[in-house]
Amino acid sequence: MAANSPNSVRALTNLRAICRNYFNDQPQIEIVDVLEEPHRALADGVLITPSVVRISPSPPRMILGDLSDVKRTLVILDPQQEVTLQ
Amino acid sequence: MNASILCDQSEEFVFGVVERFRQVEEQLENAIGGQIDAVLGVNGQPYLLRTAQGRLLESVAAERRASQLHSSIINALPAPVALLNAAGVIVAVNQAWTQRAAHSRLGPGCEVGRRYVEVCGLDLHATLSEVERAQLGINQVLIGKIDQYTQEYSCSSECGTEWFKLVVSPLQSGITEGAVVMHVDVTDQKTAELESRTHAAFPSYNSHPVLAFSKGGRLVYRNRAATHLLEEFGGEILPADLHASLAECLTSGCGKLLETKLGTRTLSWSFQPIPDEEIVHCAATDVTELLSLEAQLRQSQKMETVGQLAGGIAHNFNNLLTVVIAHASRLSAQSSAPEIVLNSAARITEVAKRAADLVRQLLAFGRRQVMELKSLDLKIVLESTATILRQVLNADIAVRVEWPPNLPCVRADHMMLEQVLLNLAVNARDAMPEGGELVIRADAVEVSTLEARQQQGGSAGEFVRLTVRDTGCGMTPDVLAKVFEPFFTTKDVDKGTGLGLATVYGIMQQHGGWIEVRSELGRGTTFQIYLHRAPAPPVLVAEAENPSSQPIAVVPADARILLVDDEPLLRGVVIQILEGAGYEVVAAGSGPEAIQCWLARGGDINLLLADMQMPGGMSGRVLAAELRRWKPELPVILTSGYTGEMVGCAASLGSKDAFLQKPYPMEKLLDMIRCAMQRVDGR
Repeated sequence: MAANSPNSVRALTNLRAICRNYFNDQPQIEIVDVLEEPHRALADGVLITPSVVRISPSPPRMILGDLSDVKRTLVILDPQQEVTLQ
Repeated sequence: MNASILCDQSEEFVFGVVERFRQVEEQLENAIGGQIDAVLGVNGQPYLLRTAQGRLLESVAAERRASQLHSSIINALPAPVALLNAAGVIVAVNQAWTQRAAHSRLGPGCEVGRRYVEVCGLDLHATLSEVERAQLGINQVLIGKIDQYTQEYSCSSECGTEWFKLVVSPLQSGITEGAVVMHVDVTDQKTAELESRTHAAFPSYNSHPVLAFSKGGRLVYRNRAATHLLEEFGGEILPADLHASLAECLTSGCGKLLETKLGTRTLSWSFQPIPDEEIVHCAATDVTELLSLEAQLRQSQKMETVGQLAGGIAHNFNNLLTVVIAHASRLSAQSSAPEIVLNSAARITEVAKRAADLVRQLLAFGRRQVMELKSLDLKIVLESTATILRQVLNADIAVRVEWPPNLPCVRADHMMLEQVLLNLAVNARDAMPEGGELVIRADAVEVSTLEARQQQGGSAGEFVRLTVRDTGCGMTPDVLAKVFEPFFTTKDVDKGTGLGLATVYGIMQQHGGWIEVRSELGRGTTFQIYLHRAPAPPVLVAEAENPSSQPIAVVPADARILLVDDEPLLRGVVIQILEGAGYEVVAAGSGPEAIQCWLARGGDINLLLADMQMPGGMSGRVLAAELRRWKPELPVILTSGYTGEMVGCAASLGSKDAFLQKPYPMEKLLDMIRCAMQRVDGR
């Protein structure tokens, strides 16, 4: 995230909703503000915000943007799982 | 490259760089669809895109505005408010909190950054268990288990006890989570609650029944006393026309007093409408005792009035009887008169004496008879009365007289007490024409205040009770109610005067005692009289010397008597009698006139014979005192047909004074004059 920039805040809200609705609140979310910890972001290969990096299970996967496209987000975050989308 | 070097470049170069920069941004946005905010350089330097910068600035400004607005709202709250983070640590407080903290042990400004529970325990003097409860509640709000937690607690200080309500609500703002803690001062509310509970206790614990009815007659409140009464008697305790009365009260807005009968008891209801609430308050008082006292007072006032009237009549009547008796005795003294005249004179004297007896009874009822209260052994009175009764009553009436050993003495007038017993016995005899039993019993009793209150004229203390019981025909309640009224009689016109029991009543009042009566038709009647016990046993005193038994002294020829009486008829006949006996009489109609006569005679008067009550503002006694200033040894005989003032005043009569009750036989008058003269001569 880049502080409370509009796209970043939207992305976080959408991510939480997806976790709640499709993953039963199981995933642990770590929030990194690039304006405060830019090197922490670089360490995970993040160059653009907002980005979500799935660290576990490996391999890592990354998705950019405000996550408003739920279907695409789900495919990237968990391509194995067959998810019925509403 | 720094700013000054850049400014040295040509304008064309600067525009070119900026244009390239814009195109790169545009390409980035196109590639990712306008959803990015920042990019990071390989050296880790983040760059916020222009659109994001603008929006971030806007949102920061908006946030600042909102934050200012929120802090204004929170600061405007009179209650202390603190914001806690998820760990329960205070992150912000409002002004009310700051002010309160400044006046507490905590000191100003040191609450932020501390755990709320520590601060709360320190500042609010809360007890440990209260702090623990608060901690538990706050934790539950912080972990999202409950939406709100409230807890009331009190803290005492030198200003008194304050009550607070702790309100904890969850705080959700962006990514931070925590709780809002508010302390609302509810002292006023608590005090009002307490006050209203106290006020509610007044009717609730009132020993009188209190009820409230709605407009439609529905019972909306009843206190304990009313509940007990309703359980015992049901709706009977209420006035019969309850609904009409309620409606009337609410329509008129005025209170109403009603009475209900509950067996032998009477309830007085006060209905008070509360128009705003459309209810009527009803409070009851048991007035049974009050009504009985009222009736007793009315009866006693009536008796008092009748007594005064009777006394007044008796006074005048005694004057007239004295004249009648005097004339009759003059006639009898005429030995030469024809026998028919002497017989008539004898009959006149006899009837006049009977009339005098009647008057004496009236006086006794009117409590104007001369009374001599002394410590009296009842046994003597009972024995003498029993002897008389056994002679007087028919053989078919058995007389039983009983008293316990060690019967205390009473404070009473012997003659009057005898009269009381005789009157009651005569009453009993008349109630038993077929014969029966008459029991006279004396015993010592103690009367409680409660018992005393139930009897007219009753008082509490130690008494001797005299019971006179017959097995006669008894009385109906109607007769019983009037039994002590003078001239009330159930006997044939020529048999009873209607004064017997009235006299008993008067005598008992004069003695400071009272009389009770119970009667049952066909079963008999019981009278009980209560006499004060006497503190000391009676001292036997030799009977006063009877003046008539004294040897008749020789009347000095020059004895001059000053006769003062406002009744001319009486003056006339007494002058004749006294002159007939050899005295010289100077007569006057009033005190002032008597003094003139005295002065005209130069004080040459040997005896004063004066009526006690006379018009002209000077009584016989005052006149005697006046004349004694000139002649201290002057013998005085005072007469009266109205002896109320004599009661308790006998001591004020000088030793040289004698008292003669009207009507008096002429022989007695002459005896007294001789006796008085002799006493003076003997000095």
